[in-house]
Amino acid sequence: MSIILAGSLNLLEVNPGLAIWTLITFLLVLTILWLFAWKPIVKALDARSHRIADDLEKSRKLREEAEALLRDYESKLEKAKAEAVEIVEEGRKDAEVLRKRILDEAAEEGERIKKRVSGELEQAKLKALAEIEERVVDLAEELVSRVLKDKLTGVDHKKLILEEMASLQKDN
Amino acid sequence: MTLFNVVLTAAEKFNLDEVVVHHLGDQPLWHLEIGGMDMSITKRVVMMWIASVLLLAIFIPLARKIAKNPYAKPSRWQSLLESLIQFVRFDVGKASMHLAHKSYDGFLLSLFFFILFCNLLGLIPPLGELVHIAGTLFGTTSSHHGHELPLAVKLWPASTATGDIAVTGTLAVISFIAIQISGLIYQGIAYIKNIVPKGVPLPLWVIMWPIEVLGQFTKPFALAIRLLANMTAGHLIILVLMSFIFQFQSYLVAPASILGSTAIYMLEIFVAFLQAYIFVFLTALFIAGAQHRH
Repeated sequence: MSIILAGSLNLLEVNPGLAIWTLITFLLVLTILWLFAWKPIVKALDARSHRIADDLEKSRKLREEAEALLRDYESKLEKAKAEAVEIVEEGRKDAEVLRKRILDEAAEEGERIKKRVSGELEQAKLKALAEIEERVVDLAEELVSRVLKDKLTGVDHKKLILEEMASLQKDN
Repeated sequence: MTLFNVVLTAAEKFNLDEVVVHHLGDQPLWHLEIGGMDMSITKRVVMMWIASVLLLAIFIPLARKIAKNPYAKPSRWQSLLESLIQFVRFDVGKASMHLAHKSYDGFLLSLFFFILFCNLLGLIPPLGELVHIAGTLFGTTSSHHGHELPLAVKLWPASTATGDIAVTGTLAVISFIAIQISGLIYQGIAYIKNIVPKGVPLPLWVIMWPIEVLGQFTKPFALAIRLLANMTAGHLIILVLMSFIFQFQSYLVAPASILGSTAIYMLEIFVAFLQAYIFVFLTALFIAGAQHRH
């Protein structure tokens, strides 16, 4: 009891006047604060926390959208890259084919030219041979006729042949 | 006779009892009688009014500021108050009575801050008295006032309002009324029968009902005593530690006394918050208990 009754101080002795002052003061403070402080403060704090929650939700959605967009663009880019590689590859292949074709054609053309030239040569040879033949026949005929004429006129055969041969050589 | 007057008149014997009564007791500053009842404005009444004025001066401007633009970035001071407010609303109110806390926010907040301010103000020494004593010491003020105390002493009597059973008891009675009213509102007349837990057999119920009714009174009584004892004990320890210096009339005791009281003082700051919290938290719990049959 020494603490409750610290000397001449009685801690459990109620002073009714103080109790009534406490009641009046507290109820007054309660009313005034309730009306002019707690009501607006609580309203504002709730409004703020709602707004923060809304903002968080909104930013989460935006982020998700942005991520989806990014993924979309990334896949598009990937596709475009693959396409580009394909195009280049195709171009190379085409070029290769073209080159081969050009080379083949050139080779073929060459062959053809070669063939044609050799044919022409053959023809020319044949023609020349025919011509020679013709000439030889003509000459032989001429020679024969001359020989025969000279025999008739009594000219030295040997001399005649030599003359003819010389004229032939001169002709050529 | 103050602690300091005791020092000044060394011839006089040191009396701890007088010191305790002076610092922990209540004295009328302005005598007042209404309807034959002693309604004197005592030290505690003045401290309570200072706390009330502070409450209004702090929270009404805060409310105006916050209502003007709820989305503005709060200042540090504002954040501190807001976090205390949210703590009482959610960690005390909502934690004990869930969604029903909204109707009790104003009551719990008022109770918490009223008790907290009274507790904290009780930790500030009587500055007016110090000035008065210093004046007497240096001869600038006459020590012979008769019985009339100077105004500075009266305006800041430095007393813990919540260190008096009349104050804590009244607050506990207000809590008690809030608990009973919320029980009656939520459960109707059935509340009176429902204070006994569910599933109790009739013979036992007959015994338990008076016990539970008694329990309704012991709960607020415990609230009142707890706050009173906690607010008084720390002050008493500080006074006793300081008294050692005068009791032993030795300077050697002083460092230990001062260190000890400083440590207790720090603890008291914590206790001021803790007891305000416990008072509202238990009140909220009891209200929640009265709302629903358990």
